[in-house]
Parts: sequence; C-alpha cells; structure tokens
Amino acid sequence: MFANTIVAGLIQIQKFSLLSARAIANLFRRPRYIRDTFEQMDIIGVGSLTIILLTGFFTGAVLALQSAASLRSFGAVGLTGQLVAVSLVRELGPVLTALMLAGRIGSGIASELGSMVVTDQINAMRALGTDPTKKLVTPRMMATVTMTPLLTAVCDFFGLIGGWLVALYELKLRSSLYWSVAFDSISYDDLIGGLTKPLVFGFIVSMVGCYKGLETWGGTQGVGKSTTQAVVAASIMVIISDFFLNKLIIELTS
Amino acid sequence: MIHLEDVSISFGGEQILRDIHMDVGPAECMILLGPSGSGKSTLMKIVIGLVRADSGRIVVAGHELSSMTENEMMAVRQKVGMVFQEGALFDSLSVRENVAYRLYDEGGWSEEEIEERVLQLLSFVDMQHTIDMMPAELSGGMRRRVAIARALLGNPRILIYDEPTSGLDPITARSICDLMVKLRDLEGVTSLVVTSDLSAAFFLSTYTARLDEENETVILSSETDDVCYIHTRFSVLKDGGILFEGNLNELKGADNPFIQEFIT
Repeated sequence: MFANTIVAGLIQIQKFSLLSARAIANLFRRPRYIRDTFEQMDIIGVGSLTIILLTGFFTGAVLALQSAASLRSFGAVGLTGQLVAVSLVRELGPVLTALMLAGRIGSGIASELGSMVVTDQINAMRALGTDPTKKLVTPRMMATVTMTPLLTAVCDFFGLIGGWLVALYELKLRSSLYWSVAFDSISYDDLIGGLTKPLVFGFIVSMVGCYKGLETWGGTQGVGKSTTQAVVAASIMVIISDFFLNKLIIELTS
Repeated sequence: MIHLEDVSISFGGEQILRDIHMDVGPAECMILLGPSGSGKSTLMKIVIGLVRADSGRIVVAGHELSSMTENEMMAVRQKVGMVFQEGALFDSLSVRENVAYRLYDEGGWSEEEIEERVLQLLSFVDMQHTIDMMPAELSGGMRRRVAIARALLGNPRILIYDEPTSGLDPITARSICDLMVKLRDLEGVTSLVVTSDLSAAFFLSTYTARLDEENETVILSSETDDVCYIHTRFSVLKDGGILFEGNLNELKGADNPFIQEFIT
C-alpha cells in the first residue's frame, strides 16, 4: 500500500517533469502560437489586475497598522515605511501574487483543459494534427511566467500605497518620511530577488494547472477534482519553493 | 487503406485488445460492433495514433504508425479525418474557426480563401447558415454535421466515426447516415465506424448513393432498388478479440448465440 503510493507519486513527478520539459522545448520549435500567447497574457495579466491590486493595497495597509503597534513601543513608528516596503518586496508581494494567481489562473487553466479532455476536444486537436502541448500548454506557461513579475510589481506598488495611506491618516506620519524610509530600505538585491521569484512561481502555477487539466478523467466531477487539486498543489509548491528560493538568493547575494 | 496485424494492448494489466487482424480497403466501410468495454473505441484510437498499441503492426494510408514518433504521427493524422462522439467541436471557436482549424493552424491563407473553403464544406453537410454561430448554439445533430465538415478539410481518404448517431433522433440520425453513405460512395472515402446504433449500421450496409441524370445525389436501398453491391463489412468485437467479420447477410446468418442476441 505504502509502496504503491510512493510509486504513484514518482510517476506523477515524472509526468509533470516531462510535460514541463516539452513545454519549454516547444519554445524552440515551430509553430509558436504567438497570438495565443498574447491572448493568454491579456487573460492572465489584465484579467488579474483587480484582485492583485486589492490584495496588495490591503496587505500593505494591514502591515502598516500591525507594525505600528510594535514599532511604537520602541519609539520607531517612523520606520513603518521600511517594514512595509521590505516585507512586501522581499516576501509578501511575490508569494501573495502567486497564491492569488494559483486561485484564479491555476484553477482556470485546469478547468478549461480538463473540460477539453472530458469532451474529447484534446483528442480532436491531436486528430487534427496539432500538438496540444504546443497550442495550449506553452502559450499559458509563457504568458504566466511573463505576467507574474509584472503583477508582483503592481502588488508591491499598491501595497506601498496602502501602507502610506494608513501611515498618513492613522499614524499621522509625514508622506516624505514614509516614502524616503521605504525607498532607502529596499536594496538592489531585494528587487532582483523579489522579481526573480515570481518567474518560478508563474511557471509552477501554469504548469500545475496544465498538468492537472490534461490528466483529468471522470467527466464533470473529474474536472472539479482537477481544479481543486491544481489550486492546492500550486499553492503548496509555491510556498515550499519560496523557502528554497530564499535560501538560494541569500547564498548568492551574501 | 487500413491494415492491422497482431495488434494487442493492455491497460493496468487488463488485456483490452488481443491479436487483432483487420483490413479495410479503399472506399470501403468497416463497422465495429460490440458491447461496451469490448475495445472498439481503443481500436479506433489506435488507428489514428491517439493510443499506442503494445505490439503489432498498424499501417494507415501507407504509413506504418507503429514505428512513428508523436511528431511524425501528427503529419499522418492530417490525412485522416475523425468525427468524435458529440462532435468535440472547440467551444471557444466559432463554426468557421472550427471547420477551418487546420487552415488557421497552417497559416498563409487569406480570409477570403478560408471563407470559400469553409462554405464549400458546410454546404456539403447543409450547414452554411451556421458559419458565424458558436458550438453552444448548435443542436446535437448540427454539431455532428459541423464535425464532419471539419474532418473533411484536407480531403482525407480515411474517415473514422465514433458513435456518429448516438443520442440523435431518427430523422437527424438518418441525415448523418446519408452523409456517410455519400462520402463512401461518391467521394470514395474509406470509413471506420464505431457504433452501437444497429439501425444506423444496417442502413450503411443496405443503402448506397448514386448521381442521377441531373447530377443530383440519390440514396438507394438494396432492398427496394436495383443495387448489387455495397462496400460495407462488419466486425464484432468481444473481450478484446474479433468474434466475427463479414457482410450483412453473413452477420444475420451467423450461428453464434452472442451475435444473434446482439443484433436482435
């Protein structure tokens, strides 16, 4: 029983790795489906803007509110901008953006591809001589990988604005103090790290969505199951990979 | 056109098909009958390369599929049309984009050329008026007709039908059968049909299409008209093997109790 579970897990890892390798290899093979990639960029990037904006704004606002209470006891409320900026750029911006995308994009990809599998549309595509990994997987992967860093930047920016409004109206800090402390605290390495991690997170979210979608079986119930599994698996993989990426970034920048 | 030799496949330790031999000649129609789970759909998917057999030789339109890679098979699939159960039209594309899918995929075709080709194919299945509609707006029968039009792009010499009439009312099912007969007898298309609809299967083996003096298509019955020979044979699958192969008269006269029970 235990051995079977291990074998099943290894098979899943093998299939996921093969699909990921094919999706990357397709970037160097024709046809390239540029139009599909731009369509996906619009769906993923522009379509996710509102939720990312709201997530960033209120996370920044809550960070400012919560940190002010602790900083006040040290007489350091003026450093609120630093705490908000560093937390957002280094960690919360990339991770929260990826988790929101796992919920919105990962589930969307899994349910769309899953529905295509159960209604034979994927087989029809193959029967018409089109490789579904080229037509469906690679454009989604490329679009998510390019859009996630941009959405992370939006999340960071609106988080800083949320923190600034709280600092200004709740904590009665001067705008110039908040922004100067915030910008001074962010190093070049923070920016590189904060915008590199989303590339990996984008890859994870899109590939898990595609893999779960293409592995769907069992009709409409199976589509629901794949969608849930895609969100759960992508979220967990984002959080686990975040730890290792942080370790790597710290090693490389120290 | 289709040649299978010693084809076997198993899934999860269960033997689905066992030493299958089959030959389907040009302009011939082979109807696969059998109970659920007998391996009909798997056999059909093996012929178009959607599923790989564990062993055996598969030759389709002169190409040996058994030794081909997935990429090489993509090129062969463009020469074979397939009509899926329920049509399997792409939900997010209009009827025009569905029918012209291969042309859009190839690129280099002008909108006028695409429109002309799509209208030509849709008129063959009498669906010109649906060109700008989405698949969700079509009925089951209309979807099947559009799927046939899509499969015909590129003039395939082989067409594979998966349950083409299941779930359709008798009149719509008859219109789909008329199309299949026309393709077989007037266009010379080789067909492999998986069906559990016996009336459709018997129709295909007793009716034929001819052109009259005014070049209009007429569908004739071998029972009432002077039709001497219809290119349709039956294969009955049971437990992964071929239990019977022959024409309609041989099928009706088979003394196997399973076949008798199945066709009555």
